[in-house]
Amino acid sequence: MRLLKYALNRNHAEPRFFNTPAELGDQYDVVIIGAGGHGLACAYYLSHYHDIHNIAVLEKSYIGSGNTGRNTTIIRSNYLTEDGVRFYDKSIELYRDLSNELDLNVFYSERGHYTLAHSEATMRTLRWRAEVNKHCGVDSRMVTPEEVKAACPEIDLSCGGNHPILGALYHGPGAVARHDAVAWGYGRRASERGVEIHQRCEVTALHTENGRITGVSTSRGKIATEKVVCAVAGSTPRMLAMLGIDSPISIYPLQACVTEPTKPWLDTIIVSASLHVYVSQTSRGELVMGASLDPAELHSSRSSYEFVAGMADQLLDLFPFLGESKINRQWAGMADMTPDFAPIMGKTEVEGFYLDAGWGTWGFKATPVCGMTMAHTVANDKEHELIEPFNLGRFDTMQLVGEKGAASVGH
Amino acid sequence: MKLIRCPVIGDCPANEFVYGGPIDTVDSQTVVTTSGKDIFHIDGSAAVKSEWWYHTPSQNWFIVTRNTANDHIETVVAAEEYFHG
Repeated sequence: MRLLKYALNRNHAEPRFFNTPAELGDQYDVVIIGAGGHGLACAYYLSHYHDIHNIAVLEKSYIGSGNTGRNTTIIRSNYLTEDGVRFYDKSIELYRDLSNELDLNVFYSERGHYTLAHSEATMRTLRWRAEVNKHCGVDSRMVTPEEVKAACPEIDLSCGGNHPILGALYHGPGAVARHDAVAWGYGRRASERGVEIHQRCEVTALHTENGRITGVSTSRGKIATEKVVCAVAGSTPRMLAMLGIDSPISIYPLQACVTEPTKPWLDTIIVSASLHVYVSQTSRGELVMGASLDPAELHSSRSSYEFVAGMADQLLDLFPFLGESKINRQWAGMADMTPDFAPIMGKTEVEGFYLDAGWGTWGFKATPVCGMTMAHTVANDKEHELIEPFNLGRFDTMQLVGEKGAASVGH
Repeated sequence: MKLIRCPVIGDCPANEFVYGGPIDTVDSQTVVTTSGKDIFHIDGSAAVKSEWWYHTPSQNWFIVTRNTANDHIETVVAAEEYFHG
């Protein structure tokens, strides 16, 4: 209908996505640091479901410039712990309806997800994941190499004779979505309810009084607020240092790349934990590929030749015919890794400071559920039941949520 | 290809080295608490840090001083020499 309106009307101007005033205000009910998917989703759920509208989202660069725009857009819920599976499954439920909710096509495309096993040890972990998933009502099951071949005829099951595929974990709800659309969609809908999104506005200090948040200093002035949500991925250690909060987060670059476009041949998602590679094909025909983290801690999103060379080496074992393909672009994001490969969410020792961090290499898939649960946590000053296991305090009490076995590739 | 200057045999490709994590700033023998805080919490800031790096072909450990903000390597010293002078 909207298209028809434009067909009949000479005035084609689309309204702007965001209506943010040029100047920063003096006071906000909630300040969200980081205008990535998580921060904007939190602003959306606060403004649409919790009746809080006086919100500023601060971004030191531009919308989605961090890991939101740098991931490989894979969405799945085949995790290892019940806490993890329940949480990510809720995210998939929200993703399925997201285009309607945001009135913007986020190109959510369910295409199945195969995690390949090349050793008995991997087969054991995958069987474990399949059983936990089934127990939680998630569609995951073990499949034979022949079933993998049927879904993806181009694959070399012997992997050049080096590490033959023994089986795979199939996960039906595995999907991809357009990452920019997710961030922009949440931002636009939040903006409709009065949320201000300030880009090029860097946080320089956080102010507290008697253990409570009182304000935020930025590169464009000081703001008074009692609630701050921190969703800044790779910059988390810098933010926590401002408040003197200890954390187990360390920053490692995660790199990815795309090939030149090819005809559609891959309509599923292929992951190999042992070969350290995951690949899917975009609607434009490019292959989006990623590998494991860089080997050493680094606070930088620089790319390296070692990554492409190492990843291509492994990928060609799976798909030898890609030998002629060319890499078009490569990039990196700063992944905030935690010891147990689960996020850190919820309240902190500083009252009014809410953390959404530790999203390492698994954050994009959780965007909607993070927004929803963080909004609930901020509005009620009480953690949403889905994120209770992910509290920062779990490291002090050794109640870890062991998700390392469910990371897309072995790290 | 990034190179790391090995003090024994000169420039070597970075992927010949394996990262071994930062050196302990506190002597692990003296920590008596069993709190998870001491075990898991780390200094995750971007700074110049001293780290273990292992050169696979020559099977030697080195202490590398590296800026984790920009990956710039300042010094590479054999581990033996670093700890025992």
